[in-house]
Amino acid sequence: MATFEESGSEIVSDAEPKLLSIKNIASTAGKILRARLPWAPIIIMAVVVICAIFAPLLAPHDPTDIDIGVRKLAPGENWSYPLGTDRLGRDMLSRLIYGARTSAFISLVALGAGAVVGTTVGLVSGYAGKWTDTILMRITDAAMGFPTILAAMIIVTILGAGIANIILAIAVTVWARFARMIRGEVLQVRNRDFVLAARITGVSPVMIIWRHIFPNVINTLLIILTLLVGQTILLEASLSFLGLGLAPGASAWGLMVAEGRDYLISMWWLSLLPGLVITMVVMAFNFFGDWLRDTLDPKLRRSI
Amino acid sequence: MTTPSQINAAPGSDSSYEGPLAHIENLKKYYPVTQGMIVRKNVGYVKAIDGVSIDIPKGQTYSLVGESGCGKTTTARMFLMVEKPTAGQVFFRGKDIHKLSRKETADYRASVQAVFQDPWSSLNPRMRVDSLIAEPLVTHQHLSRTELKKRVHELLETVGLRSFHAERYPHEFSGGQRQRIAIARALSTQPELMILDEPVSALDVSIRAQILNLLKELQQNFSLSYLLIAHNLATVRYMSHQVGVMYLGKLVEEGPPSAVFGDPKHPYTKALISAALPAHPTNDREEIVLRGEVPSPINPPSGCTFHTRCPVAMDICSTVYPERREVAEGHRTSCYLYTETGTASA
Ligand SMILES: Nc1ncnc2c1ncn2[C@@H]1O[C@H](COP(=O)(O)OP(=O)(O)O)[C@@H](O)[C@H]1O
Ligand code: SF4
Ligand SMILES: [Mg+2]
Repeated sequence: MATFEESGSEIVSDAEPKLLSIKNIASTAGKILRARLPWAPIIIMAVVVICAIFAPLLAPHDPTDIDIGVRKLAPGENWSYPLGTDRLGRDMLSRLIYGARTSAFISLVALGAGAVVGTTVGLVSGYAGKWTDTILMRITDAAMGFPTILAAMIIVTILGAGIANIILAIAVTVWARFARMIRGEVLQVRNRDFVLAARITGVSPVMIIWRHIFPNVINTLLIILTLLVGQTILLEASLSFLGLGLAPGASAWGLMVAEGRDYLISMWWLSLLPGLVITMVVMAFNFFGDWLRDTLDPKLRRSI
Repeated sequence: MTTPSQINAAPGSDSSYEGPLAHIENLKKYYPVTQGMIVRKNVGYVKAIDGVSIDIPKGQTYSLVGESGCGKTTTARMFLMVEKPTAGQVFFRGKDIHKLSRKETADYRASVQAVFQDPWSSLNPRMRVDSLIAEPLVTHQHLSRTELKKRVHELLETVGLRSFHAERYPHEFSGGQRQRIAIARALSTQPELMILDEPVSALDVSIRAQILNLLKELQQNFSLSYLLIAHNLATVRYMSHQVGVMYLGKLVEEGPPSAVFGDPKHPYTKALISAALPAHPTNDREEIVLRGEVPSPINPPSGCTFHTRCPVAMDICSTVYPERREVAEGHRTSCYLYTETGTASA
């Protein structure tokens, strides 16, 4: 068979040989491993996770153990209570460790639920477009504009205080953040040729979303999740502080800050220690989330 | 090389049909142009294609050429059934593709595949090569895992890749290899028509010829029909049985490449060819320089849409669009130079 040799003479061309430079759209893991890791946030996050999982093993005391004999100890005063005790003689360190568990649990469940609902809405809205998109995004905007604190007040008033209701209050507003961001990503991904290739082959919309769109927005999902952990911890703390969250006696950082607020001078450690922990943990997650975004998806707007 | 056993009964594959494999008739696609953020106002239409008719015979290549924005991609997309034409019809084996039953539509989708320009965008980076190639098969046929695997390996070999490539991800391949993967995927359901929208434009110049040769070889082995969009004249000459020249959404000239390129009739085709030829100092050929910009497809000029730039335009040219005339066997053009009215008034 005669073969063909290329020779010049292009007809006025609109075809730039573009994109050849982006040779490696490497995997998520590869990108993370090749970038320089932000160790400080990673260590703080790891400590939180370890505390949350192994709280009973790590805590020197039962965090709910009331012991009038050792009440109001300052940090360093008695080394079997290294971070001191509160007004009722509960061990500060143990309460902080268990607080990690509370925060992790709330974040996990609230964000998990929010992520599932929000991602589904974002995928459907972004891919379907037209009136489906219009309706879903109206609802999303409404949910996003609704203050979580107000949602919490309503829910707590109706259903009472408690961890499940805090989670509910956070989840009913946080899903919208996922929905918005994921939809934005879907709008980009759905214009790629592999989606058109699937459509012309007759792949069903559900399978296109599942096989072609979703795997390509996972990076974004991961970034949003990390960035929202910090905000969720802060939110839970605010709710507890306002008395809309956990029942007194539970081990939660926000609650501990609230309990100590009347003793800021006389027993400074009561509020200061949990306050510091919240600040550090929130910063660690935000920092790590920013880093993850810059590494995986530099285009993603700083809008979370 | 594997021989294709036609698994898909093509829509209306009764042996009595003798026309072209696919054809479009007076096809129009207008995109609305809107203005305003909240209240969208329709302020006009982009006439992306405006009354195009072409025939694609079985086992042959029909190529579309023309400047950027003249409607080549839009024409090609009309075969992919992802949007409806504004007017006119697309036929496959003599049947209007928008009037097919569910079953026939599925068969049509298996029979018509496409290879896109940019293999960095046309392969899902999150899917392995075997799943990418098998996707059309999984969608249309019920094959066992072993059958699928065997078929994927056959297809990889058909396009010049190796069976161990099946377990890799697209980013592990070069542009040329990726385009081979895209071709293997398109071949998987044993299609009859392939839409090739600038299949080598995004590739390194050094590997373009390989891919074109592969496409040509596949056409001969599987008697595939191609609708090809390409920019290189030599490519078009090498690949095509028929060439159509488009200007502002209309087909201005068509015929075999030897006629269209060797003896161009329409002034636009002449201009296009001379613009595409490398300037040569000893070339005594009259160089035609196109005057002016391409007019907007929202408000195309009256009559022959080329009259604003045509070096030999006549008064009659701005009245109504000239009818298509056959100037030689299989060589047609729409220009007043070749109609009785035009030659009479000139
Ligand atoms: N989806 C669309 N919406 C609006 N205008 C479009 C759309 N697709 C194409 N067009 C317009 O239609 C015309 C023809 O485009 P196209 O078919 O892509 O040309 P070509 O492939 O020859 O470069 C252009 O003016 C283009 O801007
Ligand atoms: S019809 Fe008239 S304006 Fe159009 S190409 Fe022919 S001569 Fe030129
Ligand atoms: Mg195009």
